[in-house]
Amino acid sequence: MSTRLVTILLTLFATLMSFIAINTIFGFFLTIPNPVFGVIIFINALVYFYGLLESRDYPKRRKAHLLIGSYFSYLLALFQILFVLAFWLNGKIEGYCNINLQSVNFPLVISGLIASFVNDYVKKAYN
Amino acid sequence: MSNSHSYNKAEEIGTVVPSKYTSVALLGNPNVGKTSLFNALTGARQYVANWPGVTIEKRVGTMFYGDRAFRIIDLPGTYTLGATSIDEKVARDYLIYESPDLVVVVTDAMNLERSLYLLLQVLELRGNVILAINSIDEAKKAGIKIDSKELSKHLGIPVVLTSAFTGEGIGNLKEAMLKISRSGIHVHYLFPERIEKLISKLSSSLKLKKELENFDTRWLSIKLLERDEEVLKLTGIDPGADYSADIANSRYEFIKELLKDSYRDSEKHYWDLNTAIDHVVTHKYLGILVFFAIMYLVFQVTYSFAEPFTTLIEMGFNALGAFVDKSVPIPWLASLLSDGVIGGVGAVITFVPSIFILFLSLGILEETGYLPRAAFVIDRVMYSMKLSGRSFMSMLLGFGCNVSSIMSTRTISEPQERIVTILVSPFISCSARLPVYIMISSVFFGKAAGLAIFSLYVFSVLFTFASALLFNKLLFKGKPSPMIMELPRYRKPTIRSLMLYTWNRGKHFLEKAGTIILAASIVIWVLSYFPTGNILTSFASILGKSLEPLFRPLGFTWQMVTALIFGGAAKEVIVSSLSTLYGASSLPGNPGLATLASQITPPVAFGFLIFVLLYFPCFATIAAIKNESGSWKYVWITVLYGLGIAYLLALITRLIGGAFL
Repeated sequence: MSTRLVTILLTLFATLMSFIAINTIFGFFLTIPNPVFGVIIFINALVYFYGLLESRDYPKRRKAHLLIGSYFSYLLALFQILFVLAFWLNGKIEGYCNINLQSVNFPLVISGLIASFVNDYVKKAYN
Repeated sequence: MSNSHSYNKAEEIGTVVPSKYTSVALLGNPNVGKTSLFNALTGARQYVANWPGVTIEKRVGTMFYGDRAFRIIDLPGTYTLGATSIDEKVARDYLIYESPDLVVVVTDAMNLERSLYLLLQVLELRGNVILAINSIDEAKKAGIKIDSKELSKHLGIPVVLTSAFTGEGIGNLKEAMLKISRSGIHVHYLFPERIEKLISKLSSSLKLKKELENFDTRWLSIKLLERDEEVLKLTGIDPGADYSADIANSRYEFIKELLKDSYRDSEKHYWDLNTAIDHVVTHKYLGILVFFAIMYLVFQVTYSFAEPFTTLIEMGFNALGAFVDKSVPIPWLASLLSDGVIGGVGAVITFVPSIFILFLSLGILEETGYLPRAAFVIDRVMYSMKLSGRSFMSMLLGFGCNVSSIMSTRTISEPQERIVTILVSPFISCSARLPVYIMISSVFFGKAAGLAIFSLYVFSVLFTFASALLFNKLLFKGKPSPMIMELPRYRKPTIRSLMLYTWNRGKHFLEKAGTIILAASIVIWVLSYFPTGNILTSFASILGKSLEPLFRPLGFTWQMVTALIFGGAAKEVIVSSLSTLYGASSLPGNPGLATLASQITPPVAFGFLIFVLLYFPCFATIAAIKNESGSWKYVWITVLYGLGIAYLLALITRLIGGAFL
């Protein structure tokens, strides 16, 4: 995995997660406002940003940020899916539907899915 | 060597008498897998975690092999035999005073050089030693090669490569134990001539002392040269200069020579997945943020994922209560069973899914090896409070139970730091408080309930830190011991170990539900029913109303006050008390749990939760504080400080919250 590719992916994900964090805080698009969870997503973005701050002379360090950052994004997406699932199940048991398109936070789920592929790719370098 | 023996275990149990047991001590550095090896040898299911300091007391198990019965003793981890903390002292005292027949020194294949230091110290003390090099599976993966035969030749003792995880080499270890138990072996390695001369001189004087005839004089001499305080006191001899650095250097020189021909490290070992993960999660700033994010997710998971299960259990108990109400013809008995027993215990059982999910989440963090990293990143913050990351590790255990948190302070070597950690541990929000948080938060905070619960946990940690700072300023002026802690390798947790962890921790909650909470529920029902059969004129009402004026500034109702009193037995009892006092459908005069929302405001409710978090700890925690600190003084400090500060902060919450809402 070239240093150039690592840098591109770090930049891409840092920007993407920052936008998703802002979107989650204010609830602009396909999500309900959730300020605290938005801050957590921003911490994920910071993992990528810190990777970009690492010197180009140490590509392994940059790669480490991409590895952890992508894993974190994947975990957040997984958490969101399970959260919605639990919410839906509880509504089902109590006899009402409390799920709508907004509550799923699709941007986060989709970016987490993409991040999982990146994570697999980076991890292979260590195996 | 053979590892398959078809001895009939039952027959052996019948024939072996206790005096024939061969005692075997498992000794080693923290987190090298002693307890895993102990479980593999004895078939026990002791809790194993991927972090140092899990075993704080010795554990005993039995193993039958060949014609022998072995009593295996799992000792707390120690880096040296110069005891500095209580857990290290347990290990050293056992070797010296109990003198087991065999000692298996367990080392980590990934950190062999450091692990061998302890082995040399054991060899200075005694014979009949076996070296077990554990985690050989991981070493192989990392490309490390260890020549056990070469090591055995140089050391003069049996060396076995094992993996408690895969079971590799366990049979060989049993075989080695059997052999040594029959023949015995005693070896010494020599220090440089200058040190040897001093040892021999001191040994001659020590031999003249009759009271020391049970001790190995060579070992005592070495310890005297290292200026070991206990040995200086014991012998009454002062050798003058301190040779500890010379002796340590000699040991490391010996180890270096030893490993030259028997140990091959690998290049890929230096920047592997572990290093990469650590580079990010132990980052000075990022590490703290990542820790915060992980803890947020843990508490969100605990509340949200458990909700469907909680609802199901709640519905089940409601149906059961209604059925009993209809089926039992005697009104007071029906009320006792449906409102007292089913209502009280059921209110607590409802939160079992949350408790188990919390432990499962904490188990994942422990088993993967993340928790020591959390302690590492927090260490800098802790140091400003004159505490170390080790104190933080104890505090983290408090999220499960404050008692285990207090017990684990034995690993802290600095006495003042240990006392401060004991004093502040009860302020860490234990799992018993979680049902109260969930019950009140779901009534008052709706969708923000998860956030309210998380903020209570954050508050509990911040308050614990602030209290540590205060106690250090007021009571002590000591410095924290520097934290020297090995960061364990990351491991993928197995389903079995996670289930074991969750069950071992969670079962206490179920046990409590069947004992303390059941008893308390019946007592509360009796107090709510008698003497008039009306809850408003009951004993519980008299008790609550007599104390209610004290809590009027906080806005608490008499039912809340009564629940707080009973919460002294166990914090979960607050839930069963509130459930009975508010929700007992067959008791006349009960207002119903939903009316709590109209009686008090959300700021009062949050103040109540802060009060529950901080007021005096449960009886079990009080007993632990007394036992571990050895003084009632510290118990009173915790209780009075907690009560006072809980009152003050609940009042402030009400006032500030009232101003905004």
